Amino acid sequence: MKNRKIKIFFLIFFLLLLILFSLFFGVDGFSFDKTIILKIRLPRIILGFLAGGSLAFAGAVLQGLLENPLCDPYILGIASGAAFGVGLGYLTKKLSYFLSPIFAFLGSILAIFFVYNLAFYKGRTNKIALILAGVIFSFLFSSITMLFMVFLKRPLNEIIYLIMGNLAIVFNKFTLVVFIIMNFISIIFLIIIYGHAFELNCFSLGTEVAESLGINYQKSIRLLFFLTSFLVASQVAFAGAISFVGLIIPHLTRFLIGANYKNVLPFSFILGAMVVLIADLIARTIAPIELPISVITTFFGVPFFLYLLRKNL
Amino acid sequence: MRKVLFLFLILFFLFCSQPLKDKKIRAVSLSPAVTEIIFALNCEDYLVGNTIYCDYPEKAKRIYKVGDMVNPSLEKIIKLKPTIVFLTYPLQKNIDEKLRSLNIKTFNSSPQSLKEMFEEIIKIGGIFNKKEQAEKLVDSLKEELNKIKKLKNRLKVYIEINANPPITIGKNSFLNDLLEFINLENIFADKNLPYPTVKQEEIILKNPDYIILLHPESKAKDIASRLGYEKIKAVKLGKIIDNLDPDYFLRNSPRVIEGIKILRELLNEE
Repeated sequence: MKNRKIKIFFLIFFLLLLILFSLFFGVDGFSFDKTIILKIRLPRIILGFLAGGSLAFAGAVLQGLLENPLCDPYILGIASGAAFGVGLGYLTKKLSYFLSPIFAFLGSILAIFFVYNLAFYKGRTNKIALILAGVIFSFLFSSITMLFMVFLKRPLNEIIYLIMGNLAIVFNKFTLVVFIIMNFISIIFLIIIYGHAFELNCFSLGTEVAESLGINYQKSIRLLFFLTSFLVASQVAFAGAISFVGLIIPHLTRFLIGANYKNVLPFSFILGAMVVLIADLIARTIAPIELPISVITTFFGVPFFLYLLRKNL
Repeated sequence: MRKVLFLFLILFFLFCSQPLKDKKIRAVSLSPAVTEIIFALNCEDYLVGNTIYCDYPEKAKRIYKVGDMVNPSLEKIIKLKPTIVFLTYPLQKNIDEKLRSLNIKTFNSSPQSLKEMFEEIIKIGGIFNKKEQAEKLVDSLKEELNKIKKLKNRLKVYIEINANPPITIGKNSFLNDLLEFINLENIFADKNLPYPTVKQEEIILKNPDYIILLHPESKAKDIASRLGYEKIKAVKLGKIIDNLDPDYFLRNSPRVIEGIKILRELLNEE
């Protein structure tokens, strides 16, 4: 118990240090240019922090909810839905890139709607259908997006970066307002989901056990599905599909502090935010060009994960 | 009478077979730039196939399409029985290898500078047995080019070809050479990649005198509204150019000369 508190304290301390360092360190080394720090780096760091944290958090919830260790936040087709939304926006030819987060969000919502209708058919819940529907719609949306690119006769760089994760989005006042509203709602959702940590613990013992403990399984799974997918959708709309974080961080967390969701959820959030911030720091400073963030999270995340896996086996 | 008719027919066929001999050249162009060069050389009759991106001049749209630039259909290309296929590196390197293994002759046209483009036009002219015409075209292009006055003072310029994330041009791009020609300095000339994705911090720190947008989605006011960009000299002074056709600058075809001319006129006050 004491050990865990020290770990969490240490992590938060390190996270704050990281945020401060990220704020003042850029392409030209340490700099204190007010415009760059406040208008370029700060939105980017907040984006990385919330996206990384939320994705790891959502990954942990979905893995528990669907009793599947291979679940990641994109398994429900949300990322492909977002790419589809942006592609559709471009097809209408009126899309200013400042509107693309909104189109991405609407596309994700469309994907969630389809998946929900397939998985919760006639009042029953089918977990396998949920995963399968997610995968199928993910393929469907991806192929339609490819078709858009053929119609438009050019590769849509924005969509490519959206699929691979990108924190370098261009903000203006309008996108900033949308960003703040979406994240405000996201944080509320995070808190509500955290309130269901006990139910997630029960689910991990099996559906029957959970119901015998007095949990309304049907109601909880629907609520958690919705909250989590909206959470992921609002992050993907801005940061794109950052890979590795949502799948691996929850496992990493379980290695470090055990499987109790009361601890797993906040710990995943902090660890996810940290991994993305470190990756972004590398992307912003060391890499000569702006790389998609997934390249770095995966490249540096995998060896670390392998080490932990080896140690725990 | 029969003999005269016979002789006449033989002469007629001989006469007819002359252009047919030339018709033996069957070219497929997988690069919109080469398509434009072929049209500029008036060799379009030999062009039997091109890509869906080949949209200039208008007639190029009506030529048989073998697919897009990245994944053209090999079957369609083979069906056309081309004697030569024009393509561009590095994008079509693997297509080149495949075509060569099928014993189809290819020509790689990827000029990195104006000088190389002129050489390329003459080489392409040679393939169509129209070297003289090609040399004439190059001479007239050079003449046009020499009429364009260079800027007196060197200006720093930021070229944007994609908005979100910002993608620009690096040292090894064709456009970089064009900018140098009228004494404009590309602020990302230190990047080796032809089309690098850059960091917004860098754009602001490098503080360009001019911003040139080469993507259809954005207008000057969009750039001005981006957070943090108000610090850039070009934004402060309203020196953002947003009304250029990207095809004039991103395709290495004779049209670029027209492109530089237009750009130079827009910078007229300098």
